[in-house]
Amino acid sequence: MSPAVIDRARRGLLAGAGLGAFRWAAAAPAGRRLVCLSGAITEVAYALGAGPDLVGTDTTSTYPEAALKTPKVGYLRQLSAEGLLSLRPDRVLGTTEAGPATVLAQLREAGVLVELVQADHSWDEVRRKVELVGRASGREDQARALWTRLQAQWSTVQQEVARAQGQPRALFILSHGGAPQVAGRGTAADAVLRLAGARNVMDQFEGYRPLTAEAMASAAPEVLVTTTQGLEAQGGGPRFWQRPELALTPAARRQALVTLEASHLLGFGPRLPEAIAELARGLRSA
Amino acid sequence: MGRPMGRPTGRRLTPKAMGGLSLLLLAMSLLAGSGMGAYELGAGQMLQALWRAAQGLAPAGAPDLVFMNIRLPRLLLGALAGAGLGLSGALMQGLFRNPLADPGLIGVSSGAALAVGLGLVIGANLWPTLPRTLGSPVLVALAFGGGLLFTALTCLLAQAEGGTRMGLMLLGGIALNALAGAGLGLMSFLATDEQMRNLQFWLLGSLGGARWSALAWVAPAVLLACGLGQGLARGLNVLALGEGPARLAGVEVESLKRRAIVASALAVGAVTACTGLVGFVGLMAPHGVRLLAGPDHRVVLPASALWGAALVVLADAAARMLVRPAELPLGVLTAFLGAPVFLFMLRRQRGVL
Amino acid sequence: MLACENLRVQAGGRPLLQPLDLGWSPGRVQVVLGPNGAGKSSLLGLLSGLSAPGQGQVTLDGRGLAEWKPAALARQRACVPQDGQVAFDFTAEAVVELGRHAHRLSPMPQQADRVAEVMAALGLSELRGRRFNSLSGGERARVHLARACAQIWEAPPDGGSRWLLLDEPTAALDLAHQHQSLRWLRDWSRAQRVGVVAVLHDLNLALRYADEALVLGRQVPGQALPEGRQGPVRELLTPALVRQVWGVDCQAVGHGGVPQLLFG
Repeated sequence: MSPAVIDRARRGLLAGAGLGAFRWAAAAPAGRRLVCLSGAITEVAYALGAGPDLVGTDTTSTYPEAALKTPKVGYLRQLSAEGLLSLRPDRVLGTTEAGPATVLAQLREAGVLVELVQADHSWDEVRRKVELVGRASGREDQARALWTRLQAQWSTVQQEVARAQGQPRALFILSHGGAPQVAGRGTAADAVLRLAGARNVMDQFEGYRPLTAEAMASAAPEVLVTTTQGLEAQGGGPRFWQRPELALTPAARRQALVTLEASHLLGFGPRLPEAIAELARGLRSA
Repeated sequence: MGRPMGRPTGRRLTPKAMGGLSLLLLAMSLLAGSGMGAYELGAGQMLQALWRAAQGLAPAGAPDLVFMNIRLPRLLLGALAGAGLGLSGALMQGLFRNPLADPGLIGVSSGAALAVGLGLVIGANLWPTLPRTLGSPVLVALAFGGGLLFTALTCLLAQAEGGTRMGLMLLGGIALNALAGAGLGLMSFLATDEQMRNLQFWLLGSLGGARWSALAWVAPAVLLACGLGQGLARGLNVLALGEGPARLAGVEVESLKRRAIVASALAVGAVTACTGLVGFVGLMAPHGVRLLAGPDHRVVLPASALWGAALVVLADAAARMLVRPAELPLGVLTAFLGAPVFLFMLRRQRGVL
Repeated sequence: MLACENLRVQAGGRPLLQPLDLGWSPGRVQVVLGPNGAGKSSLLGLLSGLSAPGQGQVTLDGRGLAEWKPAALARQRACVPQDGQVAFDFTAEAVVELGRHAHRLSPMPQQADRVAEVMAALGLSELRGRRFNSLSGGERARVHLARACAQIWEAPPDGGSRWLLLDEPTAALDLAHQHQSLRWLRDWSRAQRVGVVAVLHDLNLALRYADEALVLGRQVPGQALPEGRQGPVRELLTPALVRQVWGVDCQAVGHGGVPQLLFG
């Protein structure tokens, strides 16, 4: 999570807690009060028109703008049982990343339906999320319609990617504000790069690892990918390229960088087709 | 401002007055804490919930559940945690003969932290099906075991001819804390995003994992430690003269050290296993008590436990209320409260240190 | 009786005296004299039981110190340290009360009364409520003395002997208090049959207030103590001995019936 996202989320959290807690708690009808954990699930909820049913979201739910105004129940891995229950939800929807387990157990004990989907960084994950929210909010028809649209978008994008020339050697850089890390196997970024038809040059390890100049040089990526929040945190484009580790890469010579907003690129939500398309185009034109 | 010359001590509370005040403070903080929370609960609802529980009936309805299963165990865990931390702080200060000593000096907190780090990261890779989220019994057991192991190591390092040397213990504790820090750093490096966040939150401390099952073993551990500790009060008073003079005055110093360390490790180990790292309580509570009632450990030990309990209950209430419906980590609040207090104490002590 | 048998006294790993067979009797003030490095403090440490001898043993009332339980030993033997800052903000009265630790289980009248008694006897009553760590060096020394006396204030029921061991008790005291304390110690030791063993530097104070002396110093390392080093102080401390042990010339003069030494 890049600092800029967290900042916005923090502001939203304080604002939401201060203003909206009880106003929003009263808004949704009984039986349909939803709490959505994880940005993508919130996006699906809004896409299905279930916005009025949302009584709370987590701090990673930053899109659309309306999501920022809902009460924030904290970071999805560190939820507060009493806080969640004070919103009187009927259902809590999230991915398997939600926690801690004791809080989820306490919610279930209190009669709240907690439904989680597996997050495995695949297109099917999006389908699971759409299905979950559709079922939970009683909007199965809208969900099916949405899914059809998304599926169509997806096939178009896949065809575009298949038609494109070559397999660019790419690398994803994440900066939390500390040392920048590159994405290895098993990360959302790795999945996204592959879906866009690129080759993740850092596939020797799993997870995120810090950069070393030699590793970068020997991997020789042609294009670099990062998030807009990450780029801001680094100080913008020119400052980004000043990093010594990048100096020896082909990407640096061509100044080839693609940036997308974090939740758009890595959220695995309804905007995934657009994100992949944008990424694929960016990779080839950089 | 020069050194005060032969000043009288100023008015100090009598043991009875201090006891009364401490109990009152705890009672008030428990009352205040029970009334505060993200979920709206009226006094009537809370009393009803208690009445149902007293009759042996299961909780009925959300307010009942929230109070009996979430808020009440949390209040009690907070009180126990504060009591354990306050008592251990007072014990360590008596043992090291220094009001700035902290239970962390014997390595129990860093040992627990390292064990949790290892469990979350290495354990996750070796046993993927292991429940490794916060509050799981496995993590709790690991934390407790790690805390005790590190304390034992610190004690071993402190052994010299003639028994346990506190100076060696201090240095050994520092070295082991550094080792734990390095280990944690390595775990952070190896951790996935999820493991990293889980570890971070554990390190910041929280009462979010409060369940009756946790209380069932934390309560006896803390109460046992309090009992053990109270028996050491007079000996700790005499220890203020120095180890040699204390021995000559009839105190069995080695036994005193052993029992104080065991009581402290037991209390802090049990608490840390359930709540993560919560700092400064062991520093603030005894300090406040000594300011009001003087340094006699027969008063300082029990009063530190009571004040520590009240402190944690109030800090947790703030943690739950400030950003509701989310909550702040408890350790952050105690640090915000404790760091200025620590600095203030340093300033006051500067003539002596 | 406080005695040492076959004791080897060491300082910093070097043997000072061996073997040492000495005895002290209660009811008298006995001083240990000698130049620096002679082993006075080491001997006192061994007599108190704070350090254990490599060889030989110290006995109290016929039993080796190692056989005594700490609390029982504390009720019959107290030490006054040379220096003593006390951690935390205890009052002077509370410090004296710490000396009563070994008596905490015995059925005795209120500890507070005893403490008040001891402090009054030593002229410390006005200091009772004052912060110990803010007292002057001399006042602190006197409070430590009171604490040690409080520790052995009562005679043990089985008639055992009581001992007060002091390491340079007059070091921090002003002139008036030096004399006052030693006079009080002499009177108390005679009235209560307490054995006082004190390390002193001031030979004239020793001549005035002590009964017996043990003179250490200028011995060959590893050799037994030469003759003429323990005995009644006024017979022992002659200018000849002073020259031999301290290497300083002096002249003996009488002063109110008590011999004193003039230096220079």
